[in-house]
Amino acid sequence: MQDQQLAFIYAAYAITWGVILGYLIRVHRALGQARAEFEHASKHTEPVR
Amino acid sequence: MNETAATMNVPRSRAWSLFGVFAFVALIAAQAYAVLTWWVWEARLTSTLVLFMIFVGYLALRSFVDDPQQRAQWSAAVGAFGAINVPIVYMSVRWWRTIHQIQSSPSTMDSAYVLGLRTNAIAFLLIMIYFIRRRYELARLRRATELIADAAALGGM
Repeated sequence: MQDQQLAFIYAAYAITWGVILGYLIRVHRALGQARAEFEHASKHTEPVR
Repeated sequence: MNETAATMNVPRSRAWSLFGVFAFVALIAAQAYAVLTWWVWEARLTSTLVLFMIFVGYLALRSFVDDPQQRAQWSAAVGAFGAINVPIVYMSVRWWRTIHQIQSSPSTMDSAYVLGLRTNAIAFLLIMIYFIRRRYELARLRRATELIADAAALGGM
């Protein structure tokens, strides 16, 4: 296989896994932040009577 | 808009960003693997690009429209329009015979590739299910936090 063809395949692998892993990190960070905000809101809000 | 509609509206907007990510991966990776060039105006690639742009347009629309009722209606219209493109993407390789092969399935490809195709199809399905669950959990947490804040604001009046 030619070097140029290999370059496309390597680049495709890198972009695919880069996007999937980047999205995974983004979602996990957002989840951690949302959990913290939810716990903070739950603790600092008095129940409505 | 009633409470149920407002609650359901949130996870749907999150899910579309996920579909946009997967459409982007499909566009970049598939054409680099199969065509070994960065771009060519080919039926499958072009129809997938249109699908990707509909995803991006949907997300942009949701971020620009402030009124929840209007946002829900316009988003539904774009979603319905986008759904029309899905069978076009699927059938594009049969309707316009260009360099892309017809739909890949065990009956249309060499037997040496069947195991790889099935393994990857299942792997990507599992990744998609995982992301949908995480995004749904995220949307529910954010919505619950908003409801607590709203209840606190009403209770403090």
